[in-house]
Amino acid sequence: MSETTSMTTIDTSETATAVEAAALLVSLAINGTHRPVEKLGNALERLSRAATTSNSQERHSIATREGQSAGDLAICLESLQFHDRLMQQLSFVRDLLTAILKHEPLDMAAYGAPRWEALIALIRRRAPFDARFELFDLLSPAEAREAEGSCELF
Amino acid sequence: MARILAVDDSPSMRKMVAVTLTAAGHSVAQANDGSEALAAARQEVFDVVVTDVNMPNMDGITLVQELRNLAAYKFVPLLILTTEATAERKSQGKEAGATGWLVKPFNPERLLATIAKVLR
Repeated sequence: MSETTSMTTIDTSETATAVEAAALLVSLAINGTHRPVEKLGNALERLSRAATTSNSQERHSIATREGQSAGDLAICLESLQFHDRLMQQLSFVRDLLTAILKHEPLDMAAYGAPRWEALIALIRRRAPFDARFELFDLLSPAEAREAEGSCELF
Repeated sequence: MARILAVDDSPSMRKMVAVTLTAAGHSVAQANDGSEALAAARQEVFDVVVTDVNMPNMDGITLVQELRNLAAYKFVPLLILTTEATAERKSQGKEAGATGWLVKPFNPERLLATIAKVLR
């Protein structure tokens, strides 16, 4: 039996089961990531505290290393924020799957797309560039990606 | 050095903001959402509030509006720190009374520079 044929034989209940399983797996992924990242955050906190409480003599003798550590610390702080983004995106996928499963309307406003059609248009616009990869990136607004790290005072 | 309230429903984000600010000598209190932040703000007047937008119970835009309704927070810098970057959302933040809009992921040095700037 070809792959195409087998796909067409999947009935509604099988689709519902697959969607439910996918939603559960996403929930497991979210829950499983919290603890290690919390530990990483605590380690960073200790590192930061140690770097700021050493006495001036120690600080002078290891100035170069401290400079590097400060740079590394900034990189850690910035990089770790992508966990937050991962959580948002996984939550989004989970909510999509759950809504499909329960035949409920989606609250797209919470994800930066005012309406479902807007999100679909966004995905279609970006699909030619990364059709095979970065599925999660397709679910985040292009404007947000371009503005990463920006700051605007009113 | 300032007393700062960091508001985000993500524990890791709150931690990152707190680590960055405390390393620079600031004192940081944390709140999980807008409601918790508003309650904390009624107990203590913070020098700066840094808040996310999308949070349960009360979002960041509503929090800014509520804080601006408090006499003690009329001139306190209120910074939005979010993944959202659309002009429409920024406009909503500005209308609500936000002082500035920062897009995640934040660069620690830039966040500290922005805090220093709004505290002047």
